[in-house]
Amino acid sequence: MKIEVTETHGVTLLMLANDRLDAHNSDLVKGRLRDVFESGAKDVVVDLSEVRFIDSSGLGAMVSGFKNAVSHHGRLVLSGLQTQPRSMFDLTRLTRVFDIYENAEAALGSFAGQ
Amino acid sequence: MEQERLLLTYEDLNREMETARRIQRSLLPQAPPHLLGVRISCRSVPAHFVGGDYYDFFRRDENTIDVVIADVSGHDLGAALIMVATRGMLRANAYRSGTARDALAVLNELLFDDLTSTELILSMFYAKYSIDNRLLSYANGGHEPPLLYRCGKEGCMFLDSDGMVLGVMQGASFEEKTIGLREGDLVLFYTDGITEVNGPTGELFGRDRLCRSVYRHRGAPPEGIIDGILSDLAEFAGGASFADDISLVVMKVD
Repeated sequence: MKIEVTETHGVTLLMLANDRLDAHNSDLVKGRLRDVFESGAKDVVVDLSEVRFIDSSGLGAMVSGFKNAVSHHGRLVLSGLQTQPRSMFDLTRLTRVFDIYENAEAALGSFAGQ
Repeated sequence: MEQERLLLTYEDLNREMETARRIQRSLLPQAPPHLLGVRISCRSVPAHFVGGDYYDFFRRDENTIDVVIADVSGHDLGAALIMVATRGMLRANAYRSGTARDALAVLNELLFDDLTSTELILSMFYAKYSIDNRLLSYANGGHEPPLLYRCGKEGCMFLDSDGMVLGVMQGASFEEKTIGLREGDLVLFYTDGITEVNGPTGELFGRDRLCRSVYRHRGAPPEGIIDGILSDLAEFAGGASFADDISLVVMKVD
């Protein structure tokens, strides 16, 4: 999976450029998120707009990132959830712990003024 | 020489994984308990050496049985080890009488640190069935909602209740619901390996197809319903092997 990492006004954006986030690539995403927080990032957006399918391993990677954010006193938010990923977040009630935005711009904007 | 050493290491690894596979398979119930008033069948179809699927039965007395089904994220040895830890904790607490929601709440606390350090999550559906009054009480920790077919009715419904997947939030609470069953009703507990099977064009098997499959095979005994669903799944997959572990438990009320 290609993961594009950019930084805008102190907020790190991870764009997951793959249509699946599952057991085959979730460890890679977990590791990348860990690296991002260990290198000092506090505010992180994971954009899932290209992900059409996520399984429990993919959700696990997002939860792992969320816990990393908390332990680094940071914040991890999500953007661009398509239908199937959205239903997985609903089923697992993870919508209660993640702030989810329509798109990356809205997610980046949520950090403004903090 | 180096190649020989690597080959040996690969063989060792394969042998150890085979042992892990055998042990993990042996930790799933080989057959569900026999009780008068309800017939239960179960099946696990592994896609990998080891995985995170788990189901179990705890017979409380002649009248009550607990049915639990769970899925640890990931299909690797880490998921398998957490599955084994989960089984141990559930079994150690199984002698206690308690509600389904309590079982999930306790397990969430007990497993929280382990799930955090291993970067995994666990979905689980916990049900308690009383045979004499045919009441099914259940709580859900973010697991695929079991399917209920009502005898004589068209279609089916899904048994969901409010609760977060385990390992995310300490102190999480779980909603408990109770539903009355009738003779001929059937409940299918399953893992997402079923609904996430891909067809040749990439579409998912999904809950609607699962519902239609159960409806089609509703007249069969529990074992036959499992055979029927797996046959429909294989046909949908167009001969491709399943990418994820599949677990099914069918409970039919007599």
